[in-house]
Amino acid sequence: MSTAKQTELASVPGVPGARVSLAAKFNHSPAFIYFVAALCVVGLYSIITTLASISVILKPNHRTIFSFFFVLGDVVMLGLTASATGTAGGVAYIGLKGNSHVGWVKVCNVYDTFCKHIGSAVAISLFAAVVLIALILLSVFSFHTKIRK
Amino acid sequence: MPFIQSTQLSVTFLYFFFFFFFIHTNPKTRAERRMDVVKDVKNMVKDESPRRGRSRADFAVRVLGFVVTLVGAVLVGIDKETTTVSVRLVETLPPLHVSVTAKWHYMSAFVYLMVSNAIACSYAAASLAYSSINKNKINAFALIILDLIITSMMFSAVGAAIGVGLIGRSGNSHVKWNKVCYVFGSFCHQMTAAIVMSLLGCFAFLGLVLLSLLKLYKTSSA
Repeated sequence: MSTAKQTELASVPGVPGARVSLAAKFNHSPAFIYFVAALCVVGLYSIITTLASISVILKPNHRTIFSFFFVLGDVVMLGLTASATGTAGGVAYIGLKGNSHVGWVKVCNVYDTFCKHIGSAVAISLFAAVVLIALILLSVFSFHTKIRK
Repeated sequence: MPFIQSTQLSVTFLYFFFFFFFIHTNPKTRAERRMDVVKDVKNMVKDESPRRGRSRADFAVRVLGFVVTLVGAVLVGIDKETTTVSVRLVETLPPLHVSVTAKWHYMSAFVYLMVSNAIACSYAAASLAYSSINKNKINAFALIILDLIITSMMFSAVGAAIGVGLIGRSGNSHVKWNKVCYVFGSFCHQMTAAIVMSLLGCFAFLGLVLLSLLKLYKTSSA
């Protein structure tokens, strides 16, 4: 999302014949800025917990309390990822289809590679949300099997 | 419905909920309390009695989620406003008065918010019925999976509605999307109240997942 950029020529209203080049970047919309910020937070959290779980595998001292806090953080990060996906997806949908009731024109017919870039970013974050759900279920299952012993 | 009345309605719902769940009736005498302590100790020897307290909190949070998502869905569903805008076409002629309408289903993000609230409300009702009918053996896995899915769906719906609402409120000059909330004032206020209610519902379902995790952690061999 942060590397998506496309520049197109647009006509200036009022001056016939003049063309100005306008760029489309992610920071033109606050929804995409929130998307990038939220996914950066989730990515940083994932890196930290990956390193922490590697250290727990090497030295299994306080295994259950570590995995409990990992699951808590995973649930919070799931909420963040889901909201980022929804926000960027909602704004991208308006850019794709437009909204005639409010007079918002669609832009994806002009900026097509930009829209494809953003669409793939939203799809990848949806996959990340599904992976987080699977991770939480894995931890819940491992807690449950500990009870059986 | 204007903003103040919708918040009053939601505050009244929350007040009645807390009133009926945390009121104390008929305080017991000392002998009755002693018998209760003996009964509790006997129960603790037989089965794990801390589970009773946690299932009560689970029930309370589910009822809270049901009420809040119901209020949110209703607030989105009855959101409608009609105003007249004066349009000046030519300088010499008097301005035309055009009546414009704003309905919640004109924007697909608000449709998603309404559908999401409705699904979460019906899930809360169904899981309340399920957990109160089978008190002994609850399939905790199915409830945790469904809770997680409903939580993430509600969070994404709230995110979409906030993103679209921000564009409607402050516009986007780069794509020439004009703001509309200065025309439709009470529509935007009611939608804001509905989004706040849905966000409270999100946190209720998140709390359900955390409660189940806490229960699993406490009963596992730590």
